[in-house]
Amino acid sequence: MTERTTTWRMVVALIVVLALWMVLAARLVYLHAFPSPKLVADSQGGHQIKRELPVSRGRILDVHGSILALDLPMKNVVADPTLTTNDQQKYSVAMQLAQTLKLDPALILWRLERPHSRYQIIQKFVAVETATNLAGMKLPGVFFEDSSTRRYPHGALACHIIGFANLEGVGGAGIEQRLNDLLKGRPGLRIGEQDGKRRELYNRRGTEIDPQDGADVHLTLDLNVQYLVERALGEAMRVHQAKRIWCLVERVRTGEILAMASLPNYDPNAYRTADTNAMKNLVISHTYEPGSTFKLATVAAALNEGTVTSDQVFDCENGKWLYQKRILHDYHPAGRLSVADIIKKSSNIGAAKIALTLGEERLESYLRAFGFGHRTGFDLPGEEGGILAPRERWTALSISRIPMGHEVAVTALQLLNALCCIANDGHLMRPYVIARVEDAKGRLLRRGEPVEVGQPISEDTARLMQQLLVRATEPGGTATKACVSGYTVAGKTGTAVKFVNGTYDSRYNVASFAGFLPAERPEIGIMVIVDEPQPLHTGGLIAAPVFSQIASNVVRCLQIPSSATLLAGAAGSTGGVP
Amino acid sequence: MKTRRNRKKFSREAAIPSPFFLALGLGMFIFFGYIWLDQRCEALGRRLSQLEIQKVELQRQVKQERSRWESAKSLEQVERLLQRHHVVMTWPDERNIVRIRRAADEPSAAEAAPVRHQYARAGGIAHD
Repeated sequence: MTERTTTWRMVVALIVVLALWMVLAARLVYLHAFPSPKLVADSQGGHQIKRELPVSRGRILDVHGSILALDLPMKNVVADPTLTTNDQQKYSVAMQLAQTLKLDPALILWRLERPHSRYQIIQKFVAVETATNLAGMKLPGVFFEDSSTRRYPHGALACHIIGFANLEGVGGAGIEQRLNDLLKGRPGLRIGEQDGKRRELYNRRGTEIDPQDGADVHLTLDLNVQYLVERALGEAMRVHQAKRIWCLVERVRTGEILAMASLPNYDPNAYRTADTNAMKNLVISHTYEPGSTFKLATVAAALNEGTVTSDQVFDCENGKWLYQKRILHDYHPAGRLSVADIIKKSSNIGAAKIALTLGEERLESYLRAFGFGHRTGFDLPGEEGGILAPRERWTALSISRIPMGHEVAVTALQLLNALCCIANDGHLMRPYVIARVEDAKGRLLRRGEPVEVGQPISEDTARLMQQLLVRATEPGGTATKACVSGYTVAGKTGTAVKFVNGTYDSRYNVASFAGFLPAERPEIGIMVIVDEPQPLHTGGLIAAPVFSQIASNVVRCLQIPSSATLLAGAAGSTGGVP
Repeated sequence: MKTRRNRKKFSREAAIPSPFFLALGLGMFIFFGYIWLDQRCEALGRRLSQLEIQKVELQRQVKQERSRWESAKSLEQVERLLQRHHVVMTWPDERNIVRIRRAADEPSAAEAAPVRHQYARAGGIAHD
């Protein structure tokens, strides 16, 4: 081969190589300069990541800022069975996971032996510390996902007010349900790119919308008062072998709810295993025939209308009165009683005769003005409106039965609110438990304020009723066991026979007491209701002592001055406020 | 015969013109500037990522501790601890509480604030 031929061949080879490079370069320039939309979409689809930024559900706090509910970050332990190659390795991974997570190793092994699955959840909502320990073991095919769970640090305390949020972060009861839209917040969004190893390229972040954490809900609830109430209720339920028991504490002047408890209750941390009966907020969702506690509305109406006076005497027929061919009985038979003593002795016959002086129309009008027969508009979901039939549907007997709390159904909230109306000089307030709602940056979104919904009776009548209700707790009254040392208590007992299987069965009763204190300048109203106590069953013997126990602790907790201090203040020189 | 030197053929100008060097220098500057900026962005991205992880971890710890603290200071827990250590505590009797009453001419706390404001407006002490 000549030298000339060799040179020529090298030139040809060089030209071919250069030509190929030129073609590749041209293609590269073309792809960059004039890319087809399909290619662009394919390229970006592989690298683009769209990630939802997690958001934290808002907290629920009591009046002092104690946290009642908050979100806690957790981890889900997940396995990819295709990455555990042999049986020995699977067994080893299963044993280590089972030991750390306290699970059955056979169950984990069963999940790992799925060669076609690349995603098996081993356990959800694992504490981050546990997940960190597991990550340190570097188990093949085991990885972790971010998650969060709702935590209620005080367990069952105030469970009916707080409610619960399910695993999807949706409120299922109580405040969690009512304010779900404000509590849940809004998740953020990040659109960026990732490299071939699926690692985020931080300098390629595009759209970024910050998450907006859920709003914090501050309640009027006082956790200390709530605890004192629930402790007293638990003890009473055990002692009296009651089926159910519930209680409400309200601030008289504003309508703020300080405590609201029902037993049986449940732990919202384990709401899935809770009994559905225990999940019912009896204070607002359970209606019952109130019995004698209802008389306070009847007497207040008659006094306000001037159809009776406090010292007017009625013949109480020695405990038996035939009206419209039906006999009405008194639990404590009496002869002639003044209106004041009718309240003190809780005479059914006396209350019926007082109602007759009013007439059906005015009686119904006053009862509705006190808030019976319709919802109060309380903040929690599931409130019942009770039953107060329109006057057109009343029988001839109704005028004698409704005044003593029969033929009507009320909630504890309605009844206590009516009593607080009397304690608040006749001003009926809307009860509320949401004090304020603030977003994550502290901006006020909603504020709960005292709202007066009406004035069914005059201030003079209300003050007279306050004095009359004190007599129930004085010697000879039905509620002597409601007394609180150092404080004057005003209130009314109630004992209602339950309607069971189509008839009133005296073996089943609802015992209740509604009261307020100090009577000289009412601050708080408390109502206690005990369902089917055994063997005693009257409100004076069952509910009044529970009221006393709760009230004596609550007045100390809230630093309410005693009656003696109030009287000393009133007797002092002008302007001297204790 | 003596041949004359062709001046056009044997020019003394440089083989590569200086504007080319300038362009090359500029290109190199842009190239290295780009590389430096890219590395800087990469480093900042990594730092950003680390801080984000740290922030999430700290937030988690704060929430965890808040939850623990709330459980620890609940009245039920306090009572349990008191019982464990045989400490009996009750509310003081009403007779043992000393309530201090204000003098008749002394304004209450609520009344005092507007009074101070009025004094300031009248040209007295400016600070409240």
